[in-house]
Amino acid sequence: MNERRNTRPGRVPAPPRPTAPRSTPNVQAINRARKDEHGRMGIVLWIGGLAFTLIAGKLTLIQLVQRDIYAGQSSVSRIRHINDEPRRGMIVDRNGRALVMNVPAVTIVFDANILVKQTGDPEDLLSATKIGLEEALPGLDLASMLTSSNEILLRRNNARARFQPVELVRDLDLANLDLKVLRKLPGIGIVKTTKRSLASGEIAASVVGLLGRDANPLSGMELAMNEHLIGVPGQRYLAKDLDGIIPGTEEVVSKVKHGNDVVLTIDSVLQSEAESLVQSVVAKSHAQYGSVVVLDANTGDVLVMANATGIDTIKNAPKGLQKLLLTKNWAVEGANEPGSTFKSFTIASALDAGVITTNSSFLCNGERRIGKRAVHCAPHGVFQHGHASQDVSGVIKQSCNVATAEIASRLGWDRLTSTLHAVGCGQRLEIGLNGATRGVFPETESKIGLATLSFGQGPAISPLHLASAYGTFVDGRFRRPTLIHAVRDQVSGAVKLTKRSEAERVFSAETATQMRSLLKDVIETGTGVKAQLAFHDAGGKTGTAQMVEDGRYSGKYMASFVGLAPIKEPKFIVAVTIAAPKGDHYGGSVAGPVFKEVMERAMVRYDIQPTRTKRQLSQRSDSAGKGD
Amino acid sequence: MMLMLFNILALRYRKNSDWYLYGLAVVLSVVGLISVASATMTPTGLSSTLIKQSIIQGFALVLMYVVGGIDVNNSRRASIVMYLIALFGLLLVATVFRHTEIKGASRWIVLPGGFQLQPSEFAKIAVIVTMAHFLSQLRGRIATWGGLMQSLIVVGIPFLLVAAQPDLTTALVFLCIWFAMVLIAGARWQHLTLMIVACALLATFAWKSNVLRQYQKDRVLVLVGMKKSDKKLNYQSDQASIAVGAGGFTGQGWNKGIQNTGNWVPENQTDFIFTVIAEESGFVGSVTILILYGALFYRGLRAVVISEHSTGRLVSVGVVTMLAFHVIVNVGMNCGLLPVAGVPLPLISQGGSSAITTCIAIGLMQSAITRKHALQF
Repeated sequence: MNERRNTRPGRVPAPPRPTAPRSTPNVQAINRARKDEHGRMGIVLWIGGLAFTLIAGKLTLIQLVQRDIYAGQSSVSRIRHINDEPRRGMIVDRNGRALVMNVPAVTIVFDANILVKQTGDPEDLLSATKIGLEEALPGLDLASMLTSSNEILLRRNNARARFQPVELVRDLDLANLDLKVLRKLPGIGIVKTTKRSLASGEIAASVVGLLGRDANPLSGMELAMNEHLIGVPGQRYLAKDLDGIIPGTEEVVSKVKHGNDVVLTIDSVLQSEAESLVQSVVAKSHAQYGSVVVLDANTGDVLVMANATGIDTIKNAPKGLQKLLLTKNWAVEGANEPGSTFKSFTIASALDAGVITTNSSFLCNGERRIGKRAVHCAPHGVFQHGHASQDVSGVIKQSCNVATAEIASRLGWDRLTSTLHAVGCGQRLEIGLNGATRGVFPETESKIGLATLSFGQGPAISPLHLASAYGTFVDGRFRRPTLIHAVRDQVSGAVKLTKRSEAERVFSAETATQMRSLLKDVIETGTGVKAQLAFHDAGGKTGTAQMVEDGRYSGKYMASFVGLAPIKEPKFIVAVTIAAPKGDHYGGSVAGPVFKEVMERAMVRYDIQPTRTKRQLSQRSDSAGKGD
Repeated sequence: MMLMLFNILALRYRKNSDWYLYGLAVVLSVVGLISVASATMTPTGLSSTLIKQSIIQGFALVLMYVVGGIDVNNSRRASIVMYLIALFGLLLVATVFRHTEIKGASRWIVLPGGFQLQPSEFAKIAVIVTMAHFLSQLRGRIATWGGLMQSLIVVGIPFLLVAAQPDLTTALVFLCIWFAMVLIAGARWQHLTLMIVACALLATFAWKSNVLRQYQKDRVLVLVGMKKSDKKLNYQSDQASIAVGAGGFTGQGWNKGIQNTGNWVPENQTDFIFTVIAEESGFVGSVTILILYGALFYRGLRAVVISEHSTGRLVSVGVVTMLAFHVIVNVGMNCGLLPVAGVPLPLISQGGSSAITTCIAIGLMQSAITRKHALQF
């Protein structure tokens, strides 16, 4: 090469003709130079050709030899694994009315990445979004949550910059929402979701319970029956490109199994009426809380489980608990001393054991000494120095502590406690709700303990305990309450009924009849006259117990009334509990009227034949309803 | 007026035109538009990008014809003006538009109305023509150290400005153009060997120091198998290889490629357009494209052989080198042979600056062919 270069006069002028004019180049020299040039071009060609050969080789390798591998990867890259989310089951009442259901909702998201891709000045686009949001969703102040215009301006020209999408509102109700307008706003994205929604009027909210974020159950049936309600996600594989699913490529691994509906024994109509009643009483009396339980007397089905929490109770609670407190199910979770409503079991047990008869007579002078201690009857109305001489009917009508303690001492500890256990006291009533209370039951035997237990001081039970225990007076058998009627397949409608436990005999049928007659007397002429129904004979018992707070008796009272109607062939059992009402705190006067209202509505709803005319309504005495 | 038109059309010289060269450029442009149509297809039909590209490509082809009529051999003054404008443009990018980064580099002059100019593209043409004139003037002195160094300065200034953007690939194009042109111009082999060694040392230095960014190093390391392929890092390259490989022998059919229709290969209308061709027309189509380019370069190199003007010859060498570099690097990266670099496929990739530059370049080759005779009176 070097040699050849030296022989190129055109480039390095040769000595013989150093001043050779450019316009007349030596043809031979030019030819030599061009020859050299061609040689050099050959090298360039070789390099280029080698590169082309390498590329062709690589193409041969991957397009012909390894084609299947790449084709496989290509089809893999469009396979998508899809989890089909199941629909959560509904919670419905005994007639199939939905108490809680899924309604379509939207979650609104702001993504600045989308905004900056749109044509136009980002600041203008952002302010358009702000104004649009303010118009579409006034009062939510979503504009302040958007990505700041400074941030967008700073980073819009940096291709690697990514903005964090902001979730503006979650699960927003679709009603009154113009999605078309929202969708047009720059950077606004709309995600379709479903939202759990209670039936209008929020019927049975305390039974249904709460479902938190991401379908996380918090309380009530939502929590207790979550396993049935959630269902099982399905799995699918399908081919998808960025534009969507490619038709005919779907492959189902497992089908989605939607959650089951839970059918409750609740009657939503009655429930709704009872709820508004108990709410108004709790509000009027500034009570801590109140609850109404209605049971089907023949089956133990819970027809109503209405709860109301007082406004003050919620205000005084820590912020995080307020929502849960608002829907607290006091009927199964609130345990309190029952007070005088317990006397029925002492008397029934004694009648059944034969230690007393309905004709037995008892003397009360207002106090009964037991060892160093004593039990008293509070003076009320005409009974300022005890209830004097009285028969069993008088004892229960005037709610005499002294005589009940006397009866209990004749009956003995073992017989009384076994009766109380048999009617469900001191045990958790399994109705399918978490947090049902066991209550409190005295463990150790003592004379004073026996006396106080006989009139309901010492133990603690829930309103549901009270109602189901009174169910024993229907025919002498105890029926465990049922709240979950069945579990229903959401798709096929197939129903799986809950297994109900057999009724257990506690008293003889005769004792039950005697008891009903005694309870009728309480309403006719005793402490329960304010609970009298207009057209039906009813029987019941008042209770006014001091509430225990932090292990000692407080100045607050629990007013309760529990009873059955119609008294000859009871159809319903209603237990009303109002905790810590201000002012009047007697069971007869605070809870009694609620009992009357609820029971009357039940009679109307289920079309029960009247058993009396209004004229038979007995005169109320001055002391009516004031006894405990 | 008529005279001007006559001069532009230069009908007198057109009889020497290489119609194969024109034909190849048109065929490749049409292939490009068909591929861009498939790559940018929207669910509702052809995209607006395609329409825009068709207009630009048509304009570029007309420009190619017009440039084919000028006398490249007598464009020394114009080339110096072009060179200075190109340098000015590159300086603008390096200073005024330093902060307007697009995809991590500042390579564009952003004009009002959404237009973007890439001065480095036009700088390639300016450098080729300027170098050609410079080397023909140098004549034999290119065989001396001084001459070689002078020619290096002509390329060195734009090289450094482009490398600073940073756009190492385009910088490498300048280096290749310079190398090929001085080689053909008759530089000494010893000098060239020395330059290669110097380049190798410089590359080592660049690797060791922080001139190269980590992502650039990673791309090279992955390619030579010294670093495990990171799925995210190598996503584009992997998806491209899958597309090319899945094409098989005859391809999956126009607008039927899974990788293309699924938009799995990012930028498959610009730098990765070859994946669309390979996937949808297979080995047959890919090789045909390579043959078409081969033919284009052959016609270009033929100009070197037939032209009696050293300027025209050198311009043709520069243009062929530039285009071949683009084709090799682009197709190489599309089939996983070379690291990912922002190089368009000439005449086929969507993009205005590239289309126009390529067509001007081919027009210049054409001009070298039409004015092949030293004296023509």
